[in-house]
Amino acid sequence: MEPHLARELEALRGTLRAMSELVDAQLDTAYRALFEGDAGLAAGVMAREKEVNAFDTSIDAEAQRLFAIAQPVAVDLRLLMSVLTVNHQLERIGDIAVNIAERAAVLAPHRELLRAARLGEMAEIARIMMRDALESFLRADPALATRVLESDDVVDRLDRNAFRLLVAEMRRSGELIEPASHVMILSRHLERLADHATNIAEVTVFLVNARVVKHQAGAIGAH
Amino acid sequence: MQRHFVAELDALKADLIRMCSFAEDAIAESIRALLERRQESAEAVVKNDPRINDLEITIDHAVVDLLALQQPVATDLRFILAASKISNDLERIGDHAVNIAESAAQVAKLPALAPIVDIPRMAQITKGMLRDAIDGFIHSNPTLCRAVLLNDDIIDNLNKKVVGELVALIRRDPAVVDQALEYIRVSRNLERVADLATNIAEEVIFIAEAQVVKHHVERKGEPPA
Repeated sequence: MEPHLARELEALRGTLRAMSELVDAQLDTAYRALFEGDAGLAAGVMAREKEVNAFDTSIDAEAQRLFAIAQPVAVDLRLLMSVLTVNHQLERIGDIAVNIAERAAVLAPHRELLRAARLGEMAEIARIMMRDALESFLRADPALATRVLESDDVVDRLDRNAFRLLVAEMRRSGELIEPASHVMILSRHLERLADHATNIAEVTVFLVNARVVKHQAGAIGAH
Repeated sequence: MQRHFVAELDALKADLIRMCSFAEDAIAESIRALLERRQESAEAVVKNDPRINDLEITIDHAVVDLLALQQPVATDLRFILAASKISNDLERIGDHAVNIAESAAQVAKLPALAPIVDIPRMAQITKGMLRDAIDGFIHSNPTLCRAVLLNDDIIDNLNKKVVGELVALIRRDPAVVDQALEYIRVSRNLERVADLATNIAEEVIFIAEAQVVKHHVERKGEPPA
């Protein structure tokens, strides 16, 4: 690899890490707003959304500049493409943090419902998946990425269980219909968060194995 | 420009258009399955989803090949990178159509609910948004894409209205909770499709404006709207 390009790629990776730390902090604040019923925190998440978008734009622009001036091939090319994909996923996770924060106020009186639907558990697993996926990408660790891929089913299952439980709650009490419908959306958002983590983990496996695992759930780990 | 490069770029455009029409078909079919209570339509959507997934992989490969072998610059480079992002969005849209089809299959098993007229309307608008966003991308037409952004607000409002009505319906008649929730899911999935179409439109506008800024040095530093 050209030493100049290597330095630039390293810098880009650093920017991606900074972005992932910001997105993680956004999730942390959104979770606290929701689970501790502190809707005041939500405004902070909304305010920092612009910073996430600024990262997205600057990483895209920087990657494009590198494509144009360095014309990378083979491994470098794949790496640069992957950075774009991961950037795209992080930007969407940032949107999810905002969506979670937006519902903190209306759900503040319904923390019991969140507990019953085991949303906190789901939130924690999805977040660990996201952290592990990013770590696996930044350290090129396919073993860690594979663990992320395996966790996706757990979150899917929790989402389905939450849905069933919430339907039962709605039947039980008319007053719970509206808050329960918000909790359903949140459960969906968390399921999507896990999906984004899975996408990042797939990129890592792709980068390391140089093969497409996307859409071949059974093929993971099989050589 | 090399003839080979032009041919590959055209093939990429053709694949994106094909992927977009598959995605549109999937949405139309899943909504038909819902409204006409047709189990076969729902199954067809699920069965056809791999076509969309396969095209995403084809486009991914084409993008890597184009970048590696042709080393495009400027406008072509931006187009190719955007194509990769857009194919990712289209793949998600296919997933949303599958979600709608799954809801349709559930609804078909349950007693019929009074028709929710706003849902076919949402589907109609959303398909139009998707088509305009992709047309705008292929033909570098940011004006077409601006209309997509306006429609996104309409869809957001319709979604809120539909969800509100369905929640009220469940309150009046708890026996319909299962059907009503499936309709809520459908409405949300359509709203997500509109979001993804909006992402595509924004990308096109962003590319167009980046060029404008580049070509008018005095405007540099002004952020895109």
